[in-house]
Amino acid sequence: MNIEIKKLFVKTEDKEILKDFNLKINPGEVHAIMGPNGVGKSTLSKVLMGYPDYYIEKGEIIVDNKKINDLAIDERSHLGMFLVYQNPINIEGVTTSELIKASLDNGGRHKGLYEYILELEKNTEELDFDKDMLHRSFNVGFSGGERKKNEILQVLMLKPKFIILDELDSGLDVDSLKIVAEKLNQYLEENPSTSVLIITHYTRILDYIKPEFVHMMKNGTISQSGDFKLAKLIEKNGYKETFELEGNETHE
Amino acid sequence: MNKIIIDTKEFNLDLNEYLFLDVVCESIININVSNNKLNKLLIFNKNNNVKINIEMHDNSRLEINNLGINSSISYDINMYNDSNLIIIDSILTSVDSINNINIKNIGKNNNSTIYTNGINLENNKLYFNLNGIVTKDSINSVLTENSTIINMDDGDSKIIPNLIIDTKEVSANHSAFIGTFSDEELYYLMSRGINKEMAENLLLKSILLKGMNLDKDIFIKEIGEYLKIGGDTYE
Repeated sequence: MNIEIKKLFVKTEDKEILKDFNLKINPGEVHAIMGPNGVGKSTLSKVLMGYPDYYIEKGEIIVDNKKINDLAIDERSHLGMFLVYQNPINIEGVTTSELIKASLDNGGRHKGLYEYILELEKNTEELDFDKDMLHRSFNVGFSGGERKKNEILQVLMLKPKFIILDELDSGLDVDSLKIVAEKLNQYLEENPSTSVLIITHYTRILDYIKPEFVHMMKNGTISQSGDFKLAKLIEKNGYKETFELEGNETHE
Repeated sequence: MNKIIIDTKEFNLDLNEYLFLDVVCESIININVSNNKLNKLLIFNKNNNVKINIEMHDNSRLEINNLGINSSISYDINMYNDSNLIIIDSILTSVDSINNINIKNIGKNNNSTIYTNGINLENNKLYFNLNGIVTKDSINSVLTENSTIINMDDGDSKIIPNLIIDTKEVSANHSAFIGTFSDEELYYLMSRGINKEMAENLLLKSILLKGMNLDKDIFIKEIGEYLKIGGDTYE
């Protein structure tokens, strides 16, 4: 999927969060956005998904040559956009299986029940995720790791073309992170035109899902861009020192 | 679980373990709980007003899960000594629905937990009147009330809690919420491609089933049919 964010200015009520934000992600590319707390990383993920709490003052979000500024959240999902949440919610009384089936049915991705069950159980097993969880209330009583696996299970079932990973490794132990990353990498190999945007504080996740492009955010915009070496520089020096060391070079 | 269809104006019952009451007419149901097993009562009530009188004798235990659609329910419950009561009462309505839960603690060491979950679909009334009474000799009792109403339109929704306590040795608490869904939940479901109406209906179901531990399949089917989200849980 082709994603282009052009001169984007976003605010909530009275606070400006994204300022002249530019980013282009070509099909099959993996980008990472890094930055300290409060620079607008998570806001970016929600703006891309169309959360109505954020107001686009100026600029454009273009997906596969279509401007999507005014598209509703569910319509963006139908295009193939998918946000892996940092803190997925829990919903009592709605099972994981039911939620995924409703997602497939609503997005014009309907599957027959038998085919659906087979695929769901296969993916569940490969994620080392307890099958009983599928028939329990969505994320109720789940550990942080189980919630993240539940997010990735939805990726595997809904087959998005653009995946935003918001702090994927938070709440995941090393073993679970390894399984989740392996499944995601396998998905990307099988679906090579799928684009990925990794949003993270730390470089740990980038050792498992390697980005070709790394961007550093400061004050609501990308201040520096580079390759994987930039992530390693941030890991070594921290954000503050890296801001001072590097010149501005925005990836277009 | 045995099923009884309540189709008479008055019905008397000595409760023993697990029973499903399907209420099909306006009725008064008198229930005695006198054994020390965990007694379970599943109640479904569509389009009727029902009154339930319960005597909870010493050392008795009872859990009630009730789903009412376009209906009202009133409980009058007497708790004697060392009894334990859980009520999860869910109401989905587009007509006026006035619900009363009166619990009188007569003896010592009683524990009652009441959850009321309401969905007010239109411009009608939905009231939960909750009265917990603890008499002078009823020491060491615990009362917990937790109420939620989701207003889908401009309906008149009220939660009226009263804790009338005549002893110092009691623990009582109450919480109430009247409002709409959290946006976070709605947006999460929409981010999975589920349209707004379907997402809201799934969340309504979630609220109606909140806290329910007994066999939910009957309720899931009824809620699914009423909200047109299907009763299939794909399980």
